Amino acid sequence: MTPQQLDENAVALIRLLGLPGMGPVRLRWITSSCSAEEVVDELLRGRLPKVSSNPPRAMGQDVTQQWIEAVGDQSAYAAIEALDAQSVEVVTPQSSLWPFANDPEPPALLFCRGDTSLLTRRPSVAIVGTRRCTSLGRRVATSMAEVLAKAGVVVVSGLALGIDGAAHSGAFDAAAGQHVPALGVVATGLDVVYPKRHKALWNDVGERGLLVSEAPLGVDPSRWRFPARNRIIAGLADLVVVVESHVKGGALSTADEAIDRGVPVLVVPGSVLSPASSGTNALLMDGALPVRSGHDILELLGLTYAEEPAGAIEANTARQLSPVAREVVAELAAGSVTVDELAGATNRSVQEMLALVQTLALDDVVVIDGSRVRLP
Amino acid sequence: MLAIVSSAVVEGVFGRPVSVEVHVSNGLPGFTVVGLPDASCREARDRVRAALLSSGLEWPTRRVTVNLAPSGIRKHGAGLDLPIALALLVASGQLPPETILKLGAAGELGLDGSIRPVPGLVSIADATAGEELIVPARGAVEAAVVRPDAVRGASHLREVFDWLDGQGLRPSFAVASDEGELVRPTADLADVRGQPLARYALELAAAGGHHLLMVGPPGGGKTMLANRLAGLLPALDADDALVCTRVHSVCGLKMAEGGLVRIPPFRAPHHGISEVGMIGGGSPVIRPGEVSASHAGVLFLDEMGEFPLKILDSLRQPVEDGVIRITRASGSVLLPARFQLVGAMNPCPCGLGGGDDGLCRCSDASIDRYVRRLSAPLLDRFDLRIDVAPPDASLLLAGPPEESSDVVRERVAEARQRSRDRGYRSNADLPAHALDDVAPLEPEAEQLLERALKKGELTGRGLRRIRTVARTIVDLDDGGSTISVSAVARALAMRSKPLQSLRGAA
Repeated sequence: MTPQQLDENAVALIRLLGLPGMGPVRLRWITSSCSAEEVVDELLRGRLPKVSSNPPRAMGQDVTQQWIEAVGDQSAYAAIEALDAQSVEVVTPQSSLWPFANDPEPPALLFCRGDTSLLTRRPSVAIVGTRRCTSLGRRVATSMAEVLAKAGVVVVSGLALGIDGAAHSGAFDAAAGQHVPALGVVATGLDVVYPKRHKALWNDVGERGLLVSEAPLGVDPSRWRFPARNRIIAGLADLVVVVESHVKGGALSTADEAIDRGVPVLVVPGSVLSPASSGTNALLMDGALPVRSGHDILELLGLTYAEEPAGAIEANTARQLSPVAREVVAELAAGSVTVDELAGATNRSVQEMLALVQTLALDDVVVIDGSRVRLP
Repeated sequence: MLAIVSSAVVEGVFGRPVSVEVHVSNGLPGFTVVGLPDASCREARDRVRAALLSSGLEWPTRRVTVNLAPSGIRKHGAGLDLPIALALLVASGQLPPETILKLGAAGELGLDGSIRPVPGLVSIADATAGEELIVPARGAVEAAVVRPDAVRGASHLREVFDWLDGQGLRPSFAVASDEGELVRPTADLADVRGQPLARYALELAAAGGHHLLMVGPPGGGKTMLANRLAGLLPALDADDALVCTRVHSVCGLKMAEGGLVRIPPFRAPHHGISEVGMIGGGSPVIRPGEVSASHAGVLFLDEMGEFPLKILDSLRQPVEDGVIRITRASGSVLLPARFQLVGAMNPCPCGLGGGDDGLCRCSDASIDRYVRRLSAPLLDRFDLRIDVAPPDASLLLAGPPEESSDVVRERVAEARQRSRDRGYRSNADLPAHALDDVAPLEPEAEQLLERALKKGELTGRGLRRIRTVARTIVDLDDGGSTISVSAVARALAMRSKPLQSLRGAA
């Protein structure tokens, strides 16, 4: 691989982005009056460049002092030199692939690993939600992403635990090939896997989809980087779907960012008693559009899907089912029940019901989920 | 003068013969114990002396040497008090030498001369030489289990002295009995309302000896069910009864009335248990742990997710082999440990996980830690794994009365007999090579298994275990010679992948 040509401005930006506590707001402020190269030069001389506007909130003397101390650090060069070895490509605003033309708060640069054409591929849908999700929410996110990825829609998410991870694993379930329309936006350097538990998913997204970050290599997770990351998710998506969220949750900040950018926010309705749906239900009250499945989203996007409609499948299998099995399917229509309840409702022995449910599960007519049985 | 009395000490769960030699000679008055005695043996001097004096006997004011042979093994415990006293009485000329020629003895002496029971009397009696055995009256019945026509129980040193001196009555034989009413645990299966699936799983576990894992939120009745498993098992056969009696005796557990332990033991250690407490060990005396105490019975681990990982993994070997070998610097002993493992755990630390209600407050990380306690190899040992949901509230209050343990036990006994008729202790012990022979699949059943294999829901090992469970299912149904598709489907359903829904997306 030939080393990529980075212009002076990009190199200076990477050096600035690697400074401690340097976020998008502070970077915009410090580069508002002069170019990035000039800022680096000034810092190297041990002083802050003259900036006409007032510094952003919570910007104290200590921060600038840290910058001056860190700017000459060798690690900045190391982060640039490692780019090729880590197969990370830097996409600048000058690139034809730059997706943030009309964004109110675009990142300065984007570090990308994988298929960069996904940056501008449309349509794209962000699926986000709480890390503390329920098993139901996880299921919804997975199947939703699966349907979307099958239809070729880019699935954008944040690779966090919970809903985010579930969404991307759903996208990988859908496409077996080398290219999967999965776009992961992360808050750390692309070589710093966070959360660790998603290492496999992280590698998958980087190899078969696209992994992006506005942080240079080697940047560790910090609290403030996650809301900043959320604005990039919102900026890359045509639609944002919030699957589950508590009343206070990062997913809601993604929704806010989406609203700021005029990106429609869709919400999966949940039980009014479920804390994991309290945030999403509040969004619904505020006028967000409800969606139930990936198919609903495809319809909104004006896409059709090749799959047989659900009704037809039901009709097909129903013909082969025994009368008892049909009773079982009818019982399950209202929601999941235990084998005990099924046996009681159909007046059969639990032994008989157990055998029947297992056989139906092998035929994918029902799903056994812990102690409960449900329709797929 | 020299006198010798046979006795024994406990090592693991077996006795080791010890010959107690007492020599009384002229010289400075003194009392020495040689032959690797531990502190409790050495203290025998003071107990024996007081006991002799309180019994109106004489303590020789001469030089007394006690040798415990063979001198290579460490002796422990107070069980050698009585043989030392008897040998001393002969060596000091208070009793004629011929009285102790064919005598064995074991028992601790009180300062008043009373003879007290010691742990492991069964094994001690078994290993002690001699035609007549004097043991504490309170442990005589259990000792009589292994030496039915030799054991005589005595409760006071003077009683023994008078008999040997020809002045008193001979202590009577102790009689062990394996007849009479079996005292079953009082917890009855009729108390468990609802839960037909879990009851069925429990019945299968009892009938086939399969290890059982129950996962579910609190209030599902997991503990209640497990507590009733021992009551469903048939009485122990002669071999198991003997081993259990030995272990019970060594562990100092409550013994059965007739001496012989005939009810399968049920042990439910708390999760604060140490590794030594669980599998046995200790120094210098190696003591059996819970896995041995539950030999031929049930080892129930409630709140399995709270047990330390190390303890759970230490169970893997005994579960597989049925025995456990403990090796320490002082030696190595083989302990029986063929137990039926029953585990119960919540789906997550807070216990509410797995429901679709989103009430669980556990983070993914804490759930992950909790679930990881159950390593895949250990999980694999459970043939029956079921999720237990709380029962319907209406059943709890007004449901019809459920089957009692007695009714279920009869079915279980019948199924177990079928397994024994084929030549195996229980279906869980069926070796892989015997499966085609004793559990031939009907064509439909084979197709079903093939489908499950293709769906990746089953491994090779899992397949074998499914067939053994299916064998048990048929044994409980009607004892047919072939395995039906319904039995295989039920066996598959009983091997759920617990906690799967909680194991994060990654």
